[in-house]
Amino acid sequence: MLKFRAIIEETFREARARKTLVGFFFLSCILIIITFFVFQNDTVLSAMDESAEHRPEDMAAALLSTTVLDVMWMAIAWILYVFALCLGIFASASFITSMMEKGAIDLLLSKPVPRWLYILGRYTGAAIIMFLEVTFFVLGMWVVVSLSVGRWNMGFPMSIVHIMLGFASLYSVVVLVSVLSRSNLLAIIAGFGIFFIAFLLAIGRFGSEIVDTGEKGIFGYITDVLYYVFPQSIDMGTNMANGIIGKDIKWTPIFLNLGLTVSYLTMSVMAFKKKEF
Amino acid sequence: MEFALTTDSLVKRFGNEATGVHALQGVSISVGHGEIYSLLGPNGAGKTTFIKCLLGIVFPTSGSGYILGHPLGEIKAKEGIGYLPENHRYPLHLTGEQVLSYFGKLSGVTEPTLSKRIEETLDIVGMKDWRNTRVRKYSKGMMQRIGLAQALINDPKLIILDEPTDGVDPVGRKEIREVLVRLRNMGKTVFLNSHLLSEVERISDRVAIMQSGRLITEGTVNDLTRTKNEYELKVSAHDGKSLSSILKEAVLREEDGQSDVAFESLQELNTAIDSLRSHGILIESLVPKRTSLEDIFIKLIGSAEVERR
Ligand SMILES: Nc1ncnc2c1ncn2[C@@H]1O[C@H](COP(=O)(O)OP(=O)(O)OP(=O)(O)O)[C@@H](O)[C@H]1O
Ligand SMILES: [Mg+2]
Repeated sequence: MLKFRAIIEETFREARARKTLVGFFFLSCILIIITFFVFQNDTVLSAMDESAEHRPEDMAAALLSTTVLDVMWMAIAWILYVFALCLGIFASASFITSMMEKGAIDLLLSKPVPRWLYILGRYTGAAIIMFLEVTFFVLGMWVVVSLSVGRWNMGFPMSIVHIMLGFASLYSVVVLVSVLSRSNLLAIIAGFGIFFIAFLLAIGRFGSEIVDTGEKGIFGYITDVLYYVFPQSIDMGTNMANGIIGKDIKWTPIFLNLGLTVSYLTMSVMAFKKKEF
Repeated sequence: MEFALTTDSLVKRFGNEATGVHALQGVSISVGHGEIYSLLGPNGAGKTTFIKCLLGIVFPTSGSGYILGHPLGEIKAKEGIGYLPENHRYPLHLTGEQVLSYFGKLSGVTEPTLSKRIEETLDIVGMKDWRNTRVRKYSKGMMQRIGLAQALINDPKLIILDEPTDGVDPVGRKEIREVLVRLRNMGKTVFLNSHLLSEVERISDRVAIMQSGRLITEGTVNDLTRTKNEYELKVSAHDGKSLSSILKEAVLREEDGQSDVAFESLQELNTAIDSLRSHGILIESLVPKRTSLEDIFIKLIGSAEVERR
């Protein structure tokens, strides 16, 4: 436990030294401040006020069967989601590769610490850092927007959990790529790439739900496989949005997502155990 | 006797059988408790690879070994070890003291022992004044010193050092040598890799010379540097015959009063002494001749090179 804590502490120190902590807080603050000023604008405020409980007739909102206020909350949440995940991947990709640098890894491996503990310690450290940052970000945004429009959305703070779920799986892939390639750049690219693939898959699956031809075809199967193999990053976002408008969240993607996280971490540990330096 | 460290035909191949590098080709070494043991060899001989095999940083292709009674690669085996890697890099954002604290914790040292050990090891390597400076600002020698302190943080029984004096100035090197001797006197075992033969010669109990992944010789420094049947003879000034005219071909080299002589047996040696005395020559000293470790090294490596061609 002492060793586990030491690894997590070192992750924190590294994050501080690399200014990722400060950087994230700084960018979060900027975004929160911008939002604050947007909501000081009278037109925006009155729009929110008049239509707050009004269900507009137009197509998109009708589809969601929700209020303008809710749509606004969801939009904010989605921006936060994408922003936090991208920044999170960018900031924490180096935690694994820095540990594996020449000259550093020899000493770590010579210590009476099992190899899996290094992976787990670094992963946990990154997750705690991410949690602190996301909590600050989401709650900060929540308070600023709620005070401005005079209404509090009670589902919004739950975004923290959904963002963390999204991060957990995406980061586990980044860890695996880091261990295999020892390249920071490749790990970041993989993280972003998979986020993007998840986005395309979501569009594809949404499309095929609407246009149900009854037959799947080869393309359908490929998207299915990819959907189950890569993190369900977009589903986590959808759950977050559903939580905000009071709809039920889907549990299947959550379990699938957690299962994938564990699998990717297990693979990372196995790869790390075999690796020579 | 139980060994602090022992390996049995350790083989390490990087890559596949045909095209890979055979870094170790069956290395068997045994290091007793309380010894300073040095592994010498030219660049690329496999010294670092050998240490990495011991510590589970790379995995031996075949062969086995034990460290402090535990099989290689086991976590238990690493508990009593302190290690200073070659070209080590510490997280640059840490201060010297934080380096010791972090690696101390990873070695399983708990408070209040940790604080005490940090003080002690900083003192041993003479880095107390630099404890709160970030490693980023350290010179190469300072880096090496903090590395040595780090290797000692858990009060290890076996200390493994890869080029410990690399980049350290002469005064610092002397200090490091003294530290190593002190450790030995405390009953610790020291295993080190080095190129600096004159240094190794001064402190090592035993040395092995490795080339191309094989040990080509092993023994105590005394044994290796003693040249068989050759002696250095010093006589006081005399105006009689030259030594070579008395001792004939037994004299290998002669320079006013100082000469190298060789005898087949102890008997011959004593006969020669008698004959010198009968010529009224006063013997000042007669000692077995030693060659420096460096000479041995160059000779052995050279002949191995020739053999391979
Ligand atoms: N990870 C690796 N992959 C492939 N080959 C390697 C690896 N590590 C070492 N080697 C090879 O193994 C051989 C022995 O290298 P090693 O580093 O053990 O030498 P050394 O005796 O420590 O040399 P030096 O005195 O320069 O430190 C070299 O030919 C080297 O190229
Ligand atoms: Mg080496």
